[in-house]
Amino acid sequence: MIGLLILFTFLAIITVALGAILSKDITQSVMLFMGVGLGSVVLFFIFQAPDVALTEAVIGTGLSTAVFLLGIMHTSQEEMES
Amino acid sequence: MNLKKVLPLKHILLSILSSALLLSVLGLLMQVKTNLYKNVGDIFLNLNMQTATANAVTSVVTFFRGIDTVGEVTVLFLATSGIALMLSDTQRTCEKVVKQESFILNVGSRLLLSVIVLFGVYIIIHGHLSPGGGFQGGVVIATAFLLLFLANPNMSLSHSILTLGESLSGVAYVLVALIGLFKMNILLGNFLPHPIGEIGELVSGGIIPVIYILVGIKVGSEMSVIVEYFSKEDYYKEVCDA
Amino acid sequence: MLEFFNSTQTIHTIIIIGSMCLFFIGFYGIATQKNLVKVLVSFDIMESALFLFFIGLHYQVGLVAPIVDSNLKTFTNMVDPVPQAMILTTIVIGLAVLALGLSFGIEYYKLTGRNDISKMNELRD
Repeated sequence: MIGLLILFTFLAIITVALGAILSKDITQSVMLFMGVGLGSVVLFFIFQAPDVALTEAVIGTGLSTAVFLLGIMHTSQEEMES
Repeated sequence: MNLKKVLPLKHILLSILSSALLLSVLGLLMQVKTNLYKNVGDIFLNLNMQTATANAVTSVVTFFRGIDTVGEVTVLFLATSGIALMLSDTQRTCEKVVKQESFILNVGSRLLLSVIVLFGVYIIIHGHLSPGGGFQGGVVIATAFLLLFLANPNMSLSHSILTLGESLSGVAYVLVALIGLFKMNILLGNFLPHPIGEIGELVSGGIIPVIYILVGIKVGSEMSVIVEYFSKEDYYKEVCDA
Repeated sequence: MLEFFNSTQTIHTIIIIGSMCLFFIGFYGIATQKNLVKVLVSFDIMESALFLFFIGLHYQVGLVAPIVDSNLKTFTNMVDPVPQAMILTTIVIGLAVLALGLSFGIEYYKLTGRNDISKMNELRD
């Protein structure tokens, strides 16, 4: 049971990470990156590491996303044509 | 619909390179027996009863590996100095314009500020009993100040108080380590009384809660400064454009 | 079937494959993306993959978190606290270094008006 839970959470994280890399919109990419942090919180809790889970919940999904969003306010919004 | 325009040749080659590297790394890692590294952790877990701390991670961070935490706090300080060097506005010529602020957002954020700061302080001072500690609680306090800056762009923190708290907590950390060196003959020696019977109570563990509170003050002030620089930057830009 | 998924060996295999896939997704992003913020997002994905790898390989089925409470009186049968302590400090450093990189990017954008790393050729002349 716990192995299946770990497997599905990893699949969700990998999907969200691919979306964050391949997305053309930077704001969308940052929001999808928040999903990677959210899945990491679930996995750290399953791995019996509540301290790391609390840190990742505060930093990976909270302050890191805020810093990214405040940062892309000052650089240009749209993705350059590659 | 040209495939070459949607997915250029360079991207295909780089994805093939990434997959090849992934397969080679997996081929190496699959041969490793994975439960070889339990020895150090077992020693620390056996010694952990003597520190009278309920949370073993806290005692590893502040006591067994306390020197690493000093170095980590130094790296944090250097990164904050770099951000202040990059984003400080010493050469701006435009004058400050008072920006319109929403009354409801202002009052609401001030109400929430006290609750969030209380939660952060709770996480810090219960670091040796439950999950949490100085790093997490300091970042929670910084998110409270982020809320304040988002609601009220005219707000500014007092940098003298932040500098004082940050440097005093850093100096106090080194002083605690040196007192342990003189009294117990090891750096970061636990010179306060820490009877094993008091495990699980709020005042227990000797110097371990003291060190985590100092780390909490340091991390909280540094993260607040980072958040302030990032949100003030936008404010100055808008004012200069107008 | 469920016993197969509950064994420690299977869980470690899932962790190795999943976290390394995540790591090389971040590597692909660094190699192909041209926006500065996208490159930093890729760096953070690689960082998350390493955290999952470190913590996950020290988990075994049946071990509990290294905290004693009223039911649990001794420090036995617990997971290793050392990698948790190291990753705990590394996450906080990661945020500070990410903010430092973003501030470099903001300063570069203010000076040149560009955030495309393939056009960074100021030092060529």
